[in-house]
Amino acid sequence: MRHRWFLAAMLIVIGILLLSVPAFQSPTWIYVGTTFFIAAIFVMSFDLLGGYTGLYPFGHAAFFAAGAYATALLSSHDVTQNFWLIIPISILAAALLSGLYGVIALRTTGLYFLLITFALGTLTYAVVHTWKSFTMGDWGIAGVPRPQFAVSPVSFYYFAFGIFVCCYVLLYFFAKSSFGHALVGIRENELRMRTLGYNTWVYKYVAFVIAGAFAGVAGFLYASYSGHVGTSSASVQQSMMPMLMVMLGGPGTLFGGVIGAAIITLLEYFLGLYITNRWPLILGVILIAFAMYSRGGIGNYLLQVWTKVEERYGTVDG
Amino acid sequence: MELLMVEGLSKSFGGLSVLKNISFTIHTGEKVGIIGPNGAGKTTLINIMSGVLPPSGGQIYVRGKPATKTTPYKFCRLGISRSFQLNTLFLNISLLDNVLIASKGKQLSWLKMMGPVNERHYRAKAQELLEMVGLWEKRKVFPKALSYGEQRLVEVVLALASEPSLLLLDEPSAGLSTAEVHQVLGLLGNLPEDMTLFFCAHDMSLLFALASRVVVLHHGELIAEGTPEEIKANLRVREIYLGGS
Repeated sequence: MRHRWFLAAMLIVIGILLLSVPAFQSPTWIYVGTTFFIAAIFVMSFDLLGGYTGLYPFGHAAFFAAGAYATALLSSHDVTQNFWLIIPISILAAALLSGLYGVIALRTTGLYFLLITFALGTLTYAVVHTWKSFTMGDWGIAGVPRPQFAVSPVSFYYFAFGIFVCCYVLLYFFAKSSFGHALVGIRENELRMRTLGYNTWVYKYVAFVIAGAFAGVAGFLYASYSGHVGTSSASVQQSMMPMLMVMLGGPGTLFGGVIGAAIITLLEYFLGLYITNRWPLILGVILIAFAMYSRGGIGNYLLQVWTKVEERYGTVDG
Repeated sequence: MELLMVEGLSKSFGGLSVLKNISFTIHTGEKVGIIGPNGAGKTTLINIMSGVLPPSGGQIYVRGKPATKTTPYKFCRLGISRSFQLNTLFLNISLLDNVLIASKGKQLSWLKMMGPVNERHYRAKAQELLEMVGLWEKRKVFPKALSYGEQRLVEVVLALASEPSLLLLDEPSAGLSTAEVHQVLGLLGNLPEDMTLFFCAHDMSLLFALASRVVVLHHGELIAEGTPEEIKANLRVREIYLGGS
């Protein structure tokens, strides 16, 4: 039991550290922190589908963009400035799009699933790029306001932190539920799950829609924070980013993706300061190293260490 | 009472005819063994009877109702569960979670599926099943850390976890030592009387110890059906399967 207390204490320390970042009054760290929270929500939504269910999408930015564009269109076109309306509608927009894409994409598995989600992601990009009267094309939509209670960078930081914690807790309990275990079962052996009574298509579909909805939350935060939504939010690079973060952090662990998001956000910002456009080269080397020597990522490595600690010092009955 | 009936079942893969006009009936509580040389069509038959493969022709009835085009998960919900010839365990999760997942397949309430996996009722059931095969102490171990024989036992346990009325077992003793075959025999021999069993086996000791009726397949055709004694005495079976001795 004491190990669980240790874990809880660690989480509290991390929480206090994150909460105290604005106290240093460094705009850089507030920016990096806020960007990290947005990336972490996005990567967790990806991990639910890729890490837990074994379905790696290559067009996940479509749902991020759906949330971002819904936020931008609602608030900048004076439809409503009410945050309590904007956020559920943005999530709904992302969920509806993922519901539609899920019907198409989940007819396939493996490499074909990857390709079809890539095609759907590209289609979304093409739509936001060419439908200029609606999305302003390459110009994007500017002037997206922040919620009234989170206008300053510091207050938005805390707002993003709160949303991140809520998303983490919700996804954590979802992943630990019987439903989450069923998703893991599907990842491990879908045919076996079907013969055990699971309608696996429905499970995968629900996971797809939920993942899309959480990507929409990240999209909402991104639009509100940056004040501008452009085609890059639906780009291939944006779809690839959570994949890299999960690969680095460890798929199927949730917290691994968060670690990956932290590392890549930090690398992107601080390496970007010195070698502007070449920082992906260093990221590439790191990812190659992880692909070759640590396929489970940091998260799974930490889990192994934790299991060894429990075995060595005893644990609660499981 | 008639539980499952197969009528004129056939299966072809392209030009290769694997099952030809197979008909038989399984009654509640029966222990039916199926034998035949490699390539006789035993696994294909079990695949069709569990919805994994669609038949090319013929019909399947479960409790008198047509079930030919039924999907695997619906077969399970009809009370028909199966094991596979090759282990299909969930290798990267604990043994306990394997059994818990297997026991929740028929749970239709989405609300309950959102609850914790380790519910008391299901955990007690998982404990009972794992104790039955002597693996409760290893419940936290991942299946890949178990011996092959233990994995075969868990394969059967997963099928049992969904509380089937008809259990289809595809070579439960394949690749096991004599001692391990006795373990499988112990597990299957202690199943409730009213649980119906349909299993294919190459191990004659397992077959004749368990089966109350035997079906013999050869080149996709049903060539004999009867009690173990009748099958032992059947000249054609002896000739093509038992070596004529």
